[in-house]
Amino acid sequence: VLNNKLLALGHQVTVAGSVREAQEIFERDGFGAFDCLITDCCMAEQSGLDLLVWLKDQDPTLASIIMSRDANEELLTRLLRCGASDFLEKPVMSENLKSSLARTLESTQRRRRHAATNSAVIEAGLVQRRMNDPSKTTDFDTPLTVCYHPRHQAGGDSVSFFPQPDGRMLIVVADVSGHDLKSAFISAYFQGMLRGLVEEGTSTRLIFERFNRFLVGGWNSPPGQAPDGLSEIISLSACAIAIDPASRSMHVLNSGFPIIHRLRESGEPMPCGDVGGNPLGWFDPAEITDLSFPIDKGDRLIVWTDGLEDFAHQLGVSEWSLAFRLLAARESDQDPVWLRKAPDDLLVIVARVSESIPEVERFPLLRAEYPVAEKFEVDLVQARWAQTLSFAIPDVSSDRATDALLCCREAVLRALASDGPRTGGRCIVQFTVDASVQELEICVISPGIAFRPPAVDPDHLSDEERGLFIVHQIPTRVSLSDCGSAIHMHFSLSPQIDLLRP
Amino acid sequence: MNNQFIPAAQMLHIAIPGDLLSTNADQFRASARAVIESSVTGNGCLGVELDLTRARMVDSAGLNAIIGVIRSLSAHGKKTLIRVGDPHVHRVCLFTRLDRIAEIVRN
Repeated sequence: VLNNKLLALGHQVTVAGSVREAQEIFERDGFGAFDCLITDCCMAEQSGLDLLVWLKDQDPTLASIIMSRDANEELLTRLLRCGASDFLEKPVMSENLKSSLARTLESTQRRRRHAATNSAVIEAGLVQRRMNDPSKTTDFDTPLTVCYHPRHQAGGDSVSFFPQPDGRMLIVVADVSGHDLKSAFISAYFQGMLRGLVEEGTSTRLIFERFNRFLVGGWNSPPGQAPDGLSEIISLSACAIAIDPASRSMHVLNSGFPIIHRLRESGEPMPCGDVGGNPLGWFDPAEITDLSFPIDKGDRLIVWTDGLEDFAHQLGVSEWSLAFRLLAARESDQDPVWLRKAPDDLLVIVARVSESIPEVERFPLLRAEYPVAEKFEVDLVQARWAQTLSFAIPDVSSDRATDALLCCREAVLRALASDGPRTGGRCIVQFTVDASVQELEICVISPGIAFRPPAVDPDHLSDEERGLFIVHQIPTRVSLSDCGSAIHMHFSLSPQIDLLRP
Repeated sequence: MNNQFIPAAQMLHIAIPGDLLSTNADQFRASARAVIESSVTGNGCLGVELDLTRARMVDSAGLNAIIGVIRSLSAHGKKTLIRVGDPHVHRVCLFTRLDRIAEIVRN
């Protein structure tokens, strides 16, 4: 009877006499051959619910109608849980069947559109990840380590790498406002335009200016003149770094991009200029800062998009520790759980810019400057150090972390207890770690202060000397530099060496 | 800071509720002095048991405050026993030779 009603409504119908037969038909013809499943709830061997559960697992986009004589609450609840789209009480009235079918067919179409879009976005994201991986876009051995985590499947951050046969290289990093599919399209457009123009020999400044005009004059037109759906301002912050290892210099163009840093061999970060001007797309002419910097032996360059700074703030840790953790996790197949809370796309790039490679590469976890102030909230500052350390090195032993925090506290308090003019009014704290996470170094710098160990017998330490004694006794090793005004406290993170300590 | 006299041991038990640091050392020093003057000196009390078992960190200012207490008790012929729980605190006490002027007991 139902078959005749469906045929009368103009549908093509395939009939199965059991759950098993229905499954065989789906497997033979494919789920895409059907737009709706209608099944009775009660059948001889397996029930219609069994078929729904199986279908939900095989193809969740195919919507279904289930029929029964008994429309009790328990059954309806079970139907919902099994993924039924609609319910018809038997005997089925033609009008009810017609309206239920219309809803269910629409549901199947909607689900299939969503699935196709989702699949396309995932595909776009994979293409974007490939474009952001220099090892896959050039034939050269790349000196770049790239870590890219779009907030969704695809995002607006990009990196383009242009190596030259003579060793010079150009790195362009960009961040389109927003972190959705639209941002990904603008980002891909910029990357394509950039690649074409660079290969033609156009200067990066001219490319930035052209893209600025494209955004200001086209996409960001005044209200009413903008293309459909693009009434908001789209901007692109970008940074181009031209590196010449032979002349040990680099040239940086920056439009609204966060500060980039040189990393010294010791792990000390050196800022290259300031945040550069406005992003492209805001005003014409473009505001582009243009600076040159020297490159020292063993230098690396680190660049990140502003999503990293926002996320570090959200986590309560330093940008450096987040960058380190991201770089350390980049080889893992699955994104860590903590990364899912990132509010924006994240892109971190480390580039080897010097021809000489240091034996041990150190990476900063924290760099902070504290002014000499009457009220220095040492407990709050120490809590941030602790948070940063445990985030960057999650498996650091609490004993070793406490050692490091105590020594840092002692050194900073000693520095800040001195009068402002002598210390230059500030104290710098820097945490660095080697790439294999074997040793943590805490460096405290305070101009004018001597961190030399007390020369008296430990039994006769004065109150002032006791802190200094601690910072020289607890670390695995200690060294001084800059006439004693910088103390470098090294803490072994290896458990084997721990056992040898008193 | 909580204190309680333990008759069996004839010791005054002073418990520090957490870390002893530059930010609370002065307060500890003042409270300890008041307790010692009122409860320890001039009666049958043999000394003070300083309970640092809840402390995970003691910095130099905290150590200086402890040493002040030890010296004050020592001047009255009383002894000090320091009870520690955290290995890090224990190590700091040993590094700074506190064990030479007071008995350190690790829980």
